[in-house]
Amino acid sequence: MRTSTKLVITIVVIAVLISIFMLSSWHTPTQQPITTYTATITSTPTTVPLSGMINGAGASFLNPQMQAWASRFYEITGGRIQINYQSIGSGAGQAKFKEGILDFAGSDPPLKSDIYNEFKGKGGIIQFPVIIGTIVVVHNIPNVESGKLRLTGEVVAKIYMGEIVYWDDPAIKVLNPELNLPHEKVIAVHRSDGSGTTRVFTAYLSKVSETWRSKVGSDFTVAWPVDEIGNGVGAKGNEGVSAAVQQNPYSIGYIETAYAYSAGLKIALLRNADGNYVLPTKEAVASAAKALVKVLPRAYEDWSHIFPDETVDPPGRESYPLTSFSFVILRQVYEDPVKNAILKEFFEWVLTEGQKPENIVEGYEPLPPEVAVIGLDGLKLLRTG
Amino acid sequence: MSSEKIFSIFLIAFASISLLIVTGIVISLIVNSYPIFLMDSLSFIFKSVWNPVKEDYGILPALLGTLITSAIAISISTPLAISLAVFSTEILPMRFREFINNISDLMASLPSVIYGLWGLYVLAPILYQYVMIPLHQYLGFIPLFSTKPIPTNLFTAGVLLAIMIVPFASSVIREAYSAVPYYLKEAAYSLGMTKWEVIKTMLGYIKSAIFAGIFLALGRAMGETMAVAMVVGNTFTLPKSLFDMGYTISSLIANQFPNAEAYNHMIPALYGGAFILFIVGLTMNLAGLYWIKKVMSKG
Amino acid sequence: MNKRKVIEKVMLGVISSLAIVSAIPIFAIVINIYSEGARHLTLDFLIDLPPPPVGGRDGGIGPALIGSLILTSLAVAIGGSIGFFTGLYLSEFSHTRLAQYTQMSLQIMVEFPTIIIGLFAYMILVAPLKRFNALAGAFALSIVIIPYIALNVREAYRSIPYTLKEAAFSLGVSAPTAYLRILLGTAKRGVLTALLIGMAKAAGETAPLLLTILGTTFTYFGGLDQPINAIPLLIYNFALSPYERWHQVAWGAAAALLTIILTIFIISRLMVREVKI
Repeated sequence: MRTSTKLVITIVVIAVLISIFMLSSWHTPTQQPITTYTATITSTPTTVPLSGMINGAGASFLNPQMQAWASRFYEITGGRIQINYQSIGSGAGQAKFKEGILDFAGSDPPLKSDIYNEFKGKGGIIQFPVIIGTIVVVHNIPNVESGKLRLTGEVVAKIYMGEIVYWDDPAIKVLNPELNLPHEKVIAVHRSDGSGTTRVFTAYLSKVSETWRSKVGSDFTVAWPVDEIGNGVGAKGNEGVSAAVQQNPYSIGYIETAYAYSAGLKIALLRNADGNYVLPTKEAVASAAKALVKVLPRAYEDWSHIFPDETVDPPGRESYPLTSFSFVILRQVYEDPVKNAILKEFFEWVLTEGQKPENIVEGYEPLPPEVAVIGLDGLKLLRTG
Repeated sequence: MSSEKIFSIFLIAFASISLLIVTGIVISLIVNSYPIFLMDSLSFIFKSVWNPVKEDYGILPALLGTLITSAIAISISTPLAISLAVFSTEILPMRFREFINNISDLMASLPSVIYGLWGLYVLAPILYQYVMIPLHQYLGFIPLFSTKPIPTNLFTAGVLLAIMIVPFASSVIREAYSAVPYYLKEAAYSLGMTKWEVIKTMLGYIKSAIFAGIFLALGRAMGETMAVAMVVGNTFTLPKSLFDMGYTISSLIANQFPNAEAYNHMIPALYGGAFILFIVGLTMNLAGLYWIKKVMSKG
Repeated sequence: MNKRKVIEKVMLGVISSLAIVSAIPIFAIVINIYSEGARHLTLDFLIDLPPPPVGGRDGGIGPALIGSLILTSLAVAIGGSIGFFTGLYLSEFSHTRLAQYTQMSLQIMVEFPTIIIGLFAYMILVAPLKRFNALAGAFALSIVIIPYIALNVREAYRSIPYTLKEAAFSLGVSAPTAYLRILLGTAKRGVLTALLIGMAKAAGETAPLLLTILGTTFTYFGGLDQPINAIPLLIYNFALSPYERWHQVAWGAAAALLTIILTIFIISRLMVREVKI
């Protein structure tokens, strides 16, 4: 009997789909209640094993640390809870969060004020720091080692404005008398996508250079003057900037410190507000964080007027200028009770267990307890309606 | 109703789906992009600025990037495509013909992300080392080569595109070449022409098909997104030389769309770029179809 | 006399060299990808979760592979049905106005930049559903492959000798029976080739997925209304990362994808071969 080939194919396709359904459910590991560890945070143990997938996206900076946390949490819950975080850039994270397409957003700067205001009528949001990050200025000058090149914020601003073109410009030479700087054009690498790292970096440049502030400003994406003279390079994600600096001799770039370490890039010293040249060491970051603690709002408030414009380049003898927090942004209202519970569990874990040294990826610094409590308080506001 | 009727309606319904989709896409392009044309009118096309802070957008560099990379791709791929077509039909012994045709078709089916991966890690360094640096060193006074090269730039994107579109143009030319009536070839030989002169004559005969192939390939090159996005450099600057990094309209959309909702006018700006890309590509496509019609009407 | 002969030899040499040059990249690509990626192709690699950027176990492409299988099957199911019947219509009713418009639409669709198709799918399925989802990705992929399948099915039916078609209709059966049961038998190989081409395309396209499926880390398949991962997307993301380990995974994934494409290609060639009457 002649059967239509089309029919056969349809049957095969359906069979494949069914077997895939079965295969993927086979991969969900065995039931395991997560009461064992929640007992340390809340006093009411949960008896129903929570399971599900949460979708978050945003800052590429946060990505390595978030993946580590998600991985660890996946293990702890026996695979029942899948925190799916994709690195698409802080700008994209906030944009998609605004559209309600993501459960949470990861972002270097806090939520833009116009998006914050939009959510006021929809139950509001909470945003809180989850980790301390630092941005480093990296370079690829052959023969100049890591930790040797001295730069100031004004010089960096001039480079990205295209006013300083060569590495042996007097402005750079005067800071580095002992270095043999070549007469080569500075290739300024920056982000091509909407980036929270860019937002923080340009906030710093705006604070130290009035010309930058009026001419360029600070945002997820800016119009880089250095592009107009042809010495700018755009790269996607911290990942892209890291790769671009690695591939281009005589380049300069700004990236989150974790990426610089893992790629073995050369880091420049930055002059802080007190006049000292520092690297993002533990002490430098702690000093900066101490200065920042004083100005912190609550999780449900609008942080956009303070972060990062007021908080970059903090005072302190050892403070590292480009110290910043990385934020997670959540809605206050999630109608799905399971999602609600998972988000609470996960982020409570992140703010407590997740801050312990064994769960921190190299290049990040844990939050001081006074800062972690902002998030813990904020999470109490999560509700279903 | 007879099963005939039902069947016809059924088929008509399905056939209209494609029409609907195309119309839907074109309408969505127009509807989503007209705000930017309302704001800036045609200056949107001729400005060079991407400033989300001030909500000012002008697509010129991306448009130029698309045109430049496609131009590079076409100039490199045309002689290659013609040679490949002629080689497989005239020069290669019969038994290898199928093999080389299969190779060509395989090139056309390779996913663009694989071309991109290879382009980024293999092609770009090679072009940088052996082509761009020498050209810049010795011929740097020519404006085309005046920028100090970086591995991922418009040139690399153009070369990668050329590699990708050769099989498309080549198969159109090949089809037309083998369809030339045999008596023409016989006649040419009987006049005492050498093989090369015969080939020249045949190529002249299928000129329309060659143009058709080129325009089709051009349309393909302009629309290519992934491979280009991985090697073009993704910098928003007005290109001054082949070795500048740049954007194409497709790679601009791929890079900027995810964060576009955070701004007020970026979405229309990106759709505006998409619309322009569509129009340009459509023009190329129609040109190609026009030449194909000429080929059809000949025989 | 001699001069023309010399020119001939030179030009034939030039043509041959150029032809060989144009064929070199495919060999280079296949060799490069397998030399970098083949060593990763173990069963574990194909099923395992992706590794973290640094530290931890080696990992694999499990979720992406399953995601690709699902998306491809769905895209072929949707795009294949639409493409098949559209191609059939074009072949048998080619004289109608609708057929001419449809033909033009398909020609336009083939040349559409795939990122624009992704934009369309985002607008229709992601924004309203308020979530990145697998269905949007499958939908975008099916739009990409409809013209390929339709045009090839049209060829398959067009190349059936008229005598066979006459014979089929002279049997007195209804049109559907004639086209789908009798003539399909002859067109079978062409139709299957069309579907295989569609499958290869759906498995390899990235731009339609970029704006629609988001990608997943742990989840193999969470439902059609949830994000999903796919091999081309994984290659794109991992290749552009700065982590050597993720680069290795990208090469492995590329090797896997290349193998899938080659297999589909070889099968479709073998099928076409047997048609020679």
